[in-house]
Amino acid sequence: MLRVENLKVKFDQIQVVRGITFTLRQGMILSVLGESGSGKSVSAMSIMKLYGENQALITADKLSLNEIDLLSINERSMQKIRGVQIAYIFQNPNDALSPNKTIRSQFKELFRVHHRTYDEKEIEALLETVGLNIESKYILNMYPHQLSGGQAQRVTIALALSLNPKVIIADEPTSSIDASLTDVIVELLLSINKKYGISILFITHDFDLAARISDEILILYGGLVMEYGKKTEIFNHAKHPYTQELMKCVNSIQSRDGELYTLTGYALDPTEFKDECPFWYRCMYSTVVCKSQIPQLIEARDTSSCFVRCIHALEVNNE
Amino acid sequence: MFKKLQLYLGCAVLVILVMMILFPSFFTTVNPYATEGLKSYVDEEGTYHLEKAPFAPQKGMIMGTDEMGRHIWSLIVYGTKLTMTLAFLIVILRFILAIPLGFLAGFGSLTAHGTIDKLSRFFGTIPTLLLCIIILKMEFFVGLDKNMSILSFVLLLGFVGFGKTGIVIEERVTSINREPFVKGDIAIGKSKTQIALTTVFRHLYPELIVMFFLEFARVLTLLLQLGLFAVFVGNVRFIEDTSNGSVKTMDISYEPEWASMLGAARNNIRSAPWIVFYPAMAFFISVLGLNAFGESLRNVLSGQIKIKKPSRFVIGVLLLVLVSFIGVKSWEFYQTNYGFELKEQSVSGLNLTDEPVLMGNSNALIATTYIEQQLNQRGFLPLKGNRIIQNYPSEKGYYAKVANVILNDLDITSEVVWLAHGDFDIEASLLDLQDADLYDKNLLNQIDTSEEIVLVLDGRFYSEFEIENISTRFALSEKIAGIIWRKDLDTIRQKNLSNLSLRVPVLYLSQNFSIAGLTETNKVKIYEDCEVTSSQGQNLYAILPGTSPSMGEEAIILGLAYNANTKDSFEKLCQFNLSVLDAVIENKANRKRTLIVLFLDGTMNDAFNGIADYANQSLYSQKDVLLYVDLTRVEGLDKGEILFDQNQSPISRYFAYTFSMQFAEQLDKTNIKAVKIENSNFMDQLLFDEKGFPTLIIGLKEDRKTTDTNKVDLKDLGQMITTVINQNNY
Repeated sequence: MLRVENLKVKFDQIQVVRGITFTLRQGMILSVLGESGSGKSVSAMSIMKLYGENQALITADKLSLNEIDLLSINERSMQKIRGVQIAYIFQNPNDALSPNKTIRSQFKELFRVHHRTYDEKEIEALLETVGLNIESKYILNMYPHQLSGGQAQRVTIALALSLNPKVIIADEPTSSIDASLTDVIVELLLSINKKYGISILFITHDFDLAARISDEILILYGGLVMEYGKKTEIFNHAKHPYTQELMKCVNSIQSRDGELYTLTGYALDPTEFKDECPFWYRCMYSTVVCKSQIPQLIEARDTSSCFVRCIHALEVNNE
Repeated sequence: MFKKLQLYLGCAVLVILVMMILFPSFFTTVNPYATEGLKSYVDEEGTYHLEKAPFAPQKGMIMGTDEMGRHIWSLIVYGTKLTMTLAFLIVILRFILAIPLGFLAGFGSLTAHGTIDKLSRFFGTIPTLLLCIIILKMEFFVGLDKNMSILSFVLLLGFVGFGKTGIVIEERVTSINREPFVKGDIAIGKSKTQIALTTVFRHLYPELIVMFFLEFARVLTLLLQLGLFAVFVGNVRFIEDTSNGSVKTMDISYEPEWASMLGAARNNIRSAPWIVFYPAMAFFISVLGLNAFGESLRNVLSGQIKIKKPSRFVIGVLLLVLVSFIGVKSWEFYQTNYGFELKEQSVSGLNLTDEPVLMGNSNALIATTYIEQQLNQRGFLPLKGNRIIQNYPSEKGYYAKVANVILNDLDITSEVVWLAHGDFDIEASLLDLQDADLYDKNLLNQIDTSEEIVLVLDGRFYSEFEIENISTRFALSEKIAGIIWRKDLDTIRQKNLSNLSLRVPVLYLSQNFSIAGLTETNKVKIYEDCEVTSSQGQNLYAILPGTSPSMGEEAIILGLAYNANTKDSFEKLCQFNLSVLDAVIENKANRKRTLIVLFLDGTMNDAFNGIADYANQSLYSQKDVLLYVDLTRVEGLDKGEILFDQNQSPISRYFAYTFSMQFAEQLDKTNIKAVKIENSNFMDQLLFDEKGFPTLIIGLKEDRKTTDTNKVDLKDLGQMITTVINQNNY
């Protein structure tokens, strides 16, 4: 179980993530939805401490994986966890794979780093699991630049699965590949989740994808969690004005009639963050109170396990 | 097109450099240490001539010679190894320092970053060249031997230049660390070290290889600049002129090395520009070629030049470079080892009696006939007349055919040297007069005894001439039955061959031999069956002409002895002499210069020494004799101490000087200390004084004082001598 409470990340003097809280339980898929610049990837990479010590300052009230406190353990211990207990799938597979090593040597390296024995047959079987049936025999001899986007991404998924992690963080895994392959990847992740019980933290900006894949959804905006809860709650009873606006946008695309609904204004840059609700200037319900403080993330009154950060949430939903 | 030309040029220069390092004899057959063309000789009237080097480029020496008469082309060819090795070691040191620090800095280490940054700034501000000149010109560094000099060069030049390289590496490592795939490495749990070695280094090493060659060219340029300021490895400085209160020195390098040739620039740029021009060209071509190669390598690795299997090309080049430095094990100029064996000669089959071999006695006649036959068999020709054996007139001499000296039942025959011979058979008591004043006229009158007495005298403070005179005087007294002089036998030149025959026996007894409490109760028995020598000595003069058209007339003379006290020591000595000749002449291709061999008679006593006969004649062109190696002090022993005297081979006689230096190197290599000659006199310098032949004396003598660790046997001595002779027969 991955527990994150009030995760904050600062680059130089800029607070990019201002407090993220969620719990990723065993076998669950949690989607983190948000626009560009909302802090999704930064949060994901901070959980795995992929930033160097002098690059980012990461703080949290709690950051633990199965009772291991990820914040306080040293780098050496963290290296033993990365790749084994918690794996990462990058947005662009060709960035994650080393360009001058064959796929085989990348698998071997992973096994060598964690002192496991490399078994070629097992890896071929794994590649077949991720859908590289025919190619599995010769793909191991290839270099990353010789693979298509879809093949490369499936290889990174196979790499992530190699050592049977408990948690996989998938950072927009379909963004840089063909739309036609999106389904394949998504189905693959779902099947992994069902077959192996691996929890997945799925980072995306695509509502549809989040709808398909998730058990729970977390909406990020301005470095903060705006709304967090079960998928059905979010989609059917969105409480936060921002979430509701997003739903309108999605419905507008799906309805295909007339003009597309757009959300006016623009998302704030982290340098513009202040101690106020980050959505107030785009929100039709905002009042002076919204400008004076950052609202707390509170449990919605009529539903359990659904949290919303809005002072006017009840009023908004009663309308 | 240009890029491919650049590649070909770079490869060509690299291959030529490697070939010059590995197979220098392919490019030139001239010994870079030897002087061909420095004509220094004494003519028949006794006038010393010096035809001065440096010689301009001419037939037989395509690039001319330097001030010492060494061929410039040969110096360049053989100097490639030392110059390139020096540059290579400096670059390697820079990389050894820069790579770890650059990596550490690139991975965030502030200490590493600070170190290379500060060092780079520091040496960037101070003119590195000037700093190196100041440091390396200090007395301490100038006086170092070759290996320590190389070490100090490498350490200093490596250290002052690594900062810049470190910064470049740090920048590249930092840049690689920013690549996304490094995050991928972190995500799978790799440590920084693993990332550095498996990912960063893999991306960086092609650039490192290119940097290596470019840095190599840069270091060569630095060495060239230092050379112009006369800062180079293996300095020999000698003083040209001390008039007017100022000391004018000439700095040369003993070793062939490019930068040292440029050091002559200041003195000779106008009068002998070729000394500077050709080495400068060598530097220029090397730097150009290495730069071209480095740039081409960069083009190959980045794909701008298409080559099939570029990785194999790179690996091939690296192997070539490595082989040329690591494969060449020996630091010395010579690749081959010249073997020496004490070969079985048929000398043991001769019918020698138990007498000594000397001065025309029956043994000597057998010996000389045998040696002449051996020389003829080996292709030697008579130097004079039509026979190798040449007689010379001599005074009458005496030696012991059989002798026995017994002191208190102890046989001390081998501890004594006979001064005055005769037929004796006496038994007497000893009288200790070691404290007496031997010039006291009344000394003998004070002796009051009825029995026969043998005097024991202290000869330490008397010369051999005085001892002879005193002995002659004392022998007249009927009271005296014999005289024993205590003296350090090492100070006596003669060995049992004497021109003195008195009424009583006169002996030298080694000072080291202790006689406890000399009183009248000590008895000595002296027996001698004396022989008179013939009045003719027999020398053997042989010559083996050289084969080289340009230097075949230049000659090395070997002086060998064949006189011996016992049959056994004669056999050993003869075996040694003939084995030395075999080892020197067996390689026909090596017989470039003429070899003159003198087997000399009477070497046991200056009065009879056959060298005087040779010195009185002019049997070979004086100006062509480069060196006389006097081996007449080699005795037929199992083990002994090496004698070595190079006082008659000054640096102005360069061939002889380098020959003596090389022999000294041989001694160093085997950790043997040679001893000086304690009883040196004019006879040792005879050929040098009379004929101007630089002389080197090498001998093997018995000594009971030293421990075994400093003794060698004839095989070791022969090995050293023949190695040096063979090395210099070019």
